Amino acid sequence: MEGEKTILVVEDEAPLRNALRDDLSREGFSVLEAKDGKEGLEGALKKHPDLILLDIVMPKMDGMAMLDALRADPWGKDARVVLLTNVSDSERVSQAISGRAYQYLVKTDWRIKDVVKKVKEILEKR
Amino acid sequence: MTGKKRITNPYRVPALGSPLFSITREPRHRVHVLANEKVAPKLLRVELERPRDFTFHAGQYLWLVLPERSKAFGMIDRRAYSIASGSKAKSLEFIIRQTYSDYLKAVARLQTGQAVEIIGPFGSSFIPSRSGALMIAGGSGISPFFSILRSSLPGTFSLFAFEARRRSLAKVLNGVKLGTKGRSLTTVVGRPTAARLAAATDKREQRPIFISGPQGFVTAVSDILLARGVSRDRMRFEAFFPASDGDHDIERIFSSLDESGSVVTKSLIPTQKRVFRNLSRLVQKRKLAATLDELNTALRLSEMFIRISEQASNHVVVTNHAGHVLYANQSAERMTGYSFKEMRGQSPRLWGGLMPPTNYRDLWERKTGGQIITHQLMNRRKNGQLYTALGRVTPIIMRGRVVAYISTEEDISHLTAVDKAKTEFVSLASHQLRAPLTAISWYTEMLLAGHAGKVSPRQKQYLEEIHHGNRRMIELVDALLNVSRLDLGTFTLEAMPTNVAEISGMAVKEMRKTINEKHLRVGEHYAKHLSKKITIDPRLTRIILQNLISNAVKYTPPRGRVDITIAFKKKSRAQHGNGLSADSLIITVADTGYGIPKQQQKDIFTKLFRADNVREKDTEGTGLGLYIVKSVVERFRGRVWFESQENAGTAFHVIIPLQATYPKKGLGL
Repeated sequence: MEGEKTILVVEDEAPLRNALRDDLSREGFSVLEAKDGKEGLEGALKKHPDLILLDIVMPKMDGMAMLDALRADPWGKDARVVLLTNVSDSERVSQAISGRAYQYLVKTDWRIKDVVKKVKEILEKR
Repeated sequence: MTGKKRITNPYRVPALGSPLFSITREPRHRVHVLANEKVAPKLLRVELERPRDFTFHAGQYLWLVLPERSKAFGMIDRRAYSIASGSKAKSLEFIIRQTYSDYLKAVARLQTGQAVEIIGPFGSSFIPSRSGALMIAGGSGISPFFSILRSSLPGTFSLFAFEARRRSLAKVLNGVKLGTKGRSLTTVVGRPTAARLAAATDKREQRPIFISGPQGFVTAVSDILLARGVSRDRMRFEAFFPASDGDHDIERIFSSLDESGSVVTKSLIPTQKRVFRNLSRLVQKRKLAATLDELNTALRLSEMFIRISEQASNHVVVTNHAGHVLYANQSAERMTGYSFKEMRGQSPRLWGGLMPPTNYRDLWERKTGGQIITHQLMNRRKNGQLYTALGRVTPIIMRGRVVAYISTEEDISHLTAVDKAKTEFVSLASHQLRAPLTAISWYTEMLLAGHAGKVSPRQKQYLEEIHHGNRRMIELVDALLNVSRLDLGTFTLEAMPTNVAEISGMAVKEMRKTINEKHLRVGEHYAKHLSKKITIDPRLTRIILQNLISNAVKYTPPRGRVDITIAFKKKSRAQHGNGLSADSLIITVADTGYGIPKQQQKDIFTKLFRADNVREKDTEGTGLGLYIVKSVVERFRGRVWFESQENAGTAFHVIIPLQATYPKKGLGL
């Protein structure tokens, strides 16, 4: 692996955010955290992470709004984003993201192992 | 005149049509016919003089009374027609469909200069909203939309008029000069198909959709839109009850309440007959007192029964065979907002007709079968307010023939609101449960993987129990969410090219652990061309297969067998028997399992129901799986059924018609 890849985890649920941080760090990634879309957007634009894991339902600024704002930025328009969502939101989300630039949709009922695997796959593609 | 009648017919009770019923003054006008021409096959354009003080707004209708018919009938015979003119036009225009009915034949005979009566304007079948509307019309269904197109209402209104052949509506459409900005008119040639209705199913299209036309047209359009995921709430219908010329006999009987047609009592009729015979004899002998007293009692009893139905707390309406109202009680007036006089002669679509036509088709098919049926209805009061009613329709059978229907309705809006609140609560609670469940799942997974240090065999065993329990909870929450979405109707169908065999294979794979533990043999039989993609909603297909396959695996004892067969069948030409009316996906999941006890088979699709024999053996089921399967299959307009024998096995069969789903850009999830 050439250099440490940076991943930004934007997730309002602390236990989920921490789990992702721990597991991704273990795999050798450098992990940045944000607990809502507002923090997430600031962090993303400042640190330009290699990948953003983005929750949908969050306070202050939700994931879809953050994605919109991100896509409006010259760097952000090509940033790699994996949406993390509950099965229950998928309908709303699939409507919201149709026709937009997005990367992947990962459901939180996936095992964390699979989330990490997906992250690696995406990062290796470049 | 009346005095003479009283002697010849002593049974005439001062009842229907008398001040016993509250009657509001109706706006009536006598007007002349200005034009009556055939403008398309089976379509008439009737133009009437517009009275000076007659004002109306777009979407309204009025009643047309033909003197010729009313005379022949002995009572006012009228039909409702949507006004096609703009609200500032000098005359009143109507597009009327020609059918076999006597009334419409009389309309066709109307001559220029002839006088008719109009009553109205009334209500609005289609209440235009500020956001505009997309309007889909077949044949005479364009009439109400014309007045909307010609109006100066704010909002964007687009009319799609279907015509049988190119330019067959040309003459009708000639007369339409589009009023203000935001109006468009498109003609579509042929029958409604998904491709021809693409504008209505476009994701960006959010306006309400108004559908109007002959029954078959409205049915076809709404079927397609529903299948393409357009929500019921966005659609407004003008659905028709089967047209028939009605039973004049019954109508006359009802207008006077005489002997055999009387709703009063069985005993009253013989009494009245006897009284009449005695009266005739005694008139000659001049000994009238006792008989008159008896007659008086009979008449008062008859009046009592009229008051009973009149003042019953439920909406009571009697219709003739064709669904035209003969009688309506006070509660019906209260609930619908229409007076009895306004309802009389109309079909209940005056306040009903808002649901997809299939509902009424089912209702009607069963109704003509002579059964008592209960149905949940979505109706609309005269003031436009919607309400939910629990309706019961009972046929009145005389000499083996259905001659009329008694329809009672109870306003259950408040109950459905409670039920919806409950479902929404379940949905909300389940959402809130998902995040902590995911956290438990991930942390146990990390512990098991040894990320937090070495785990002892005993610890591993306990963690696995936690993980398993958590999995069960996630499954339950998912099932509850699915149920609440089905109950709330928020599941949308998203048809896209799908590999059904692959979905089925995944469902088997998910059960692999149990299959191996129980040494089950699982046969997967997929038709060859299934490996190609067929157009269907993958998510709902997965829900069906997952539930049926996991049930079969769970409820089959060790060393048993499960067979999954998926076939694709072309529609058959023959419409009778079991012939398929559309290309269909046929799924069978058969097992050699515990089976469903005979006496519990009828409940097996009920929410939270679990058969006793499996309840003993397996405590983990949610009782939601088959309810979900049935609801999902119904969303697909398909059918699910089963054969089962206790301790021998069960076979579930599903047929999903593919007719109404079409290729569409997928999201590639």
